[in-house]
Amino acid sequence: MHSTSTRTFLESTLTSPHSKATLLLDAFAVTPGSSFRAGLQLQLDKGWHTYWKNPGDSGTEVRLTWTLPEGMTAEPLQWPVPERIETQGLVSYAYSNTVVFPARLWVSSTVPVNSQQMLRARANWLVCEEVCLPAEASFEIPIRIASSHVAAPTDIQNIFDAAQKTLPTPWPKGTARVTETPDHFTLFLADGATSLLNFRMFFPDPGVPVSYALPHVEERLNPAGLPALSLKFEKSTTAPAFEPNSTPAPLSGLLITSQGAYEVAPSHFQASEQASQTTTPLLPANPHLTGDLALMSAFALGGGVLLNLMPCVFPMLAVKLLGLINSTQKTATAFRKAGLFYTLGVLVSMWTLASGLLALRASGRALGWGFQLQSPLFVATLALLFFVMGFVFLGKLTLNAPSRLLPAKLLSKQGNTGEFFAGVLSTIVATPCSAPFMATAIGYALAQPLHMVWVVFTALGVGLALPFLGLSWFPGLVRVMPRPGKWMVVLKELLAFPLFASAVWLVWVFAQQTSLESVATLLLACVALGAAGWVAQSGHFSKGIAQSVGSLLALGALAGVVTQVNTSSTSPLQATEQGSASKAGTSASSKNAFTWIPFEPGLPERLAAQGKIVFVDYTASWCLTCKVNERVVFGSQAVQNTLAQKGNNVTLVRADWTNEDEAIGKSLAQFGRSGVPLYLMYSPQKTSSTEPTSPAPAAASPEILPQLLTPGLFLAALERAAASSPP
Amino acid sequence: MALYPLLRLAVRCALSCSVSAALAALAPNALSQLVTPEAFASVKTGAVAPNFTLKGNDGKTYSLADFKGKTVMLEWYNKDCPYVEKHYGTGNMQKLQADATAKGVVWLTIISSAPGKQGHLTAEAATKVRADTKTASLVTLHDEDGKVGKLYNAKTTPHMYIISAAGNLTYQGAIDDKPTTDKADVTSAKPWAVNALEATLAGKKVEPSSTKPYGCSVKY
Repeated sequence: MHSTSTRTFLESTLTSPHSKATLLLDAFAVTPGSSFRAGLQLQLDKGWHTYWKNPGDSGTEVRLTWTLPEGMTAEPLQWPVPERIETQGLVSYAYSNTVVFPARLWVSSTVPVNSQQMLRARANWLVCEEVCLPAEASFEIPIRIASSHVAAPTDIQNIFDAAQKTLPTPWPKGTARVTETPDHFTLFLADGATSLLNFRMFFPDPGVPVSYALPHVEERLNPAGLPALSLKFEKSTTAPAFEPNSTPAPLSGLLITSQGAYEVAPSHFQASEQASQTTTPLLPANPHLTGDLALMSAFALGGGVLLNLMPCVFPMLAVKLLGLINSTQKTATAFRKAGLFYTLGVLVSMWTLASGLLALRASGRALGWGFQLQSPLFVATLALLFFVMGFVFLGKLTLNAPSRLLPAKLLSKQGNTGEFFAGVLSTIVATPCSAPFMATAIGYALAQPLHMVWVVFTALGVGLALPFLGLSWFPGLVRVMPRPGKWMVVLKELLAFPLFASAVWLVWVFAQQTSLESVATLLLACVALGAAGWVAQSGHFSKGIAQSVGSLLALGALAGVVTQVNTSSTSPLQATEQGSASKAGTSASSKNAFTWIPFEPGLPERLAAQGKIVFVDYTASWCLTCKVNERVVFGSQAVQNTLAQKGNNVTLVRADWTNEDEAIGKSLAQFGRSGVPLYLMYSPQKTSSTEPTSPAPAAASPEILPQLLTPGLFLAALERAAASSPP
Repeated sequence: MALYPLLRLAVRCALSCSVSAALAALAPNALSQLVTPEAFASVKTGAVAPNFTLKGNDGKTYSLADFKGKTVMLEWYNKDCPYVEKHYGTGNMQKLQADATAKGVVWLTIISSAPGKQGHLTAEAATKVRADTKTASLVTLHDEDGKVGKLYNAKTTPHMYIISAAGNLTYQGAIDDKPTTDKADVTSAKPWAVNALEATLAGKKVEPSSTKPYGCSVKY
């Protein structure tokens, strides 16, 4: 059914009954030797569907045929993840409402500059509700070949970006195997990371001889303790006759789990001998997740202890130690009880965090350690907390004064309850700092059954509480420490300043997550809290006024921040020069003159396929380790010189996880991580040629660099990547 | 959002949170394992074709068993489906029916559309449609409750099944290898069903004996 067309410069829109087709281009003008994107957008009436590359039991897939001028080629259409619709036992893999199919087009360098080229395409699709109507549309769109690239306006770019998010992702670490019996195929899937958590759906590719009824799913753990899946399918009537000793054909398709949509391609299937249905497949060794529970717990314990040294926690710990030294009059039992309650406070907070994280992940969101910091409200609260604690340390707010001021009230509680809340507080303030061992241990833990998660998080909690617990358990150790004296007061007041510095850093993070107005509100809240503290404790006012006005001011401050965060837009600050530094463009926070490209799924692989060395930096504003690493590595003269020398051969990609980002979360999960930092070095995958006409990038397996990055480690990895490029 | 009450709540929630997290983690898994029982039987190529009895548009009753000793072609039909229209509008289907009948094949057209759904025809309407389209099959059979369609796992219109004289299913699947609605594709397509029919009549091996059918879904 042909239709009339209304044409604009970039789009060609044709309407059929119940559906409207638009061909979009993401550029007005392109340069020779480059590529651009085209997209076929189908808008369907409510209740009508069109079909995936495997339409299911009936229907036909969407087709786009190009007639291109000399020197231009088109990659095949990319397929967004479809829905599975079952009616009366018949299954369709379909799309509804609006769907965009992107396709990349390549322009060779032989196409003359300053010319206008006409792109022609014909789209065929089937739109069905109860009945089916075949539809067809022809398009003719010009594109200019110029000396510089002119992109399409933002609203069209947004359509392409949104379409990109609907596409499945490659599955770099996956392996697959098929076993066969006379009536069934069983597909075994395994991965070195957490992509296989919570199976949802499998869409078989066209030609795969399985029935489209839902398979029987078993989720299991392989010997290394990582999730694996087995899907048992009934054979379709088109399956070839069963031969006991032959290798069954690969069952490729689209795998959907709570972690994302992954393409299971023929390349994932190893040549394997026929095995019985009950064997568990062996995984390739993944050095970053070799999971011995004991080893991971040891890592978590070490990480917890190391956390005590971080600027977030150290002041708290120091005060607790000072408290210990001061009160030598207490009995050993009282000491030990205090230590135990502190540990209990830490453990309960760790368990709460763990369960919160698990619950959110089970609901499908790609979160990891540090997720709490992706919430601007939490960051703001933490900043206020540090601010108030600084004054407590300075002695301006006394610990023992009964007041409604919240953190003071917590810490002022005598006896064991006070110790408990001190433990809780320690955990809360520890979260912004990611100690080196924690990411691996937690990434491992989150992929495990629940009881293992509790073990690892408990180890983390014990590690965090260990210094204090150790000292409280052995009062003899306390005697080894310096005698009480004036130096303790000086030290305590001094420690206020690292706390204020942490508050400033949190405000900086908050600024990147919200707007200038929100930052102003937060700072005003600090002022209000300061005023509240003064009113409550300066002694100028009667007790009644002091307490009520003080609490009012404090509550007002918090309310103000909450309202402001909830009503402000997410990132106008990022449009300014300072804000954009953390997302893309030059890093303004240091003197580096590097250009960072923002991360997109599949981008590093594509760039590597073009012959570039790609370094990917997964980072976040609230991650101290990340910022320190970046400063140390990219501030070093040696690194700057080497990168300047290598020039365009090295591309720097930054995946900024300051705010929740599903694509980055899933990408992290693919490498067995649930938090930042993560550093990847991709080697170039093919010889550099001037004709980027070969479409599909090879599946590149990058080198994972250590979490404590030094210039030496970075340069060594760079050399290895450069050396491994094919001749 | 006061900190102290929140912390107290957090302490109390710690246990309930872990329980809910456990449930949340397990729930999607449990749901996905709910296997829908196959609504269809399935006849394997090479197996004995199951018997059925249906009323024809001429009012008479027909059973598969009546045609023992003859090669039988089953064709699932929906007059409004564009894929069926591709073969009837070009006269292709009618020609195949005539040629086959001349060779002694019993060609049965079956409608499994439920009443009220697309393609459903009463006996009188079917007789008229047959006359208008010059359908050359033996009779149009009415499978209103879809039993026979589900017995043979008929998924699309058209969907072709060939039963040998001995009563075994020798072919099931698409009529040809071009799953389009384009009438121009009829002449250039590989005629799988016709080839299978000729092989069955000659007693030779049918290759391919099972293909993925194309068309509109059967409107059970």
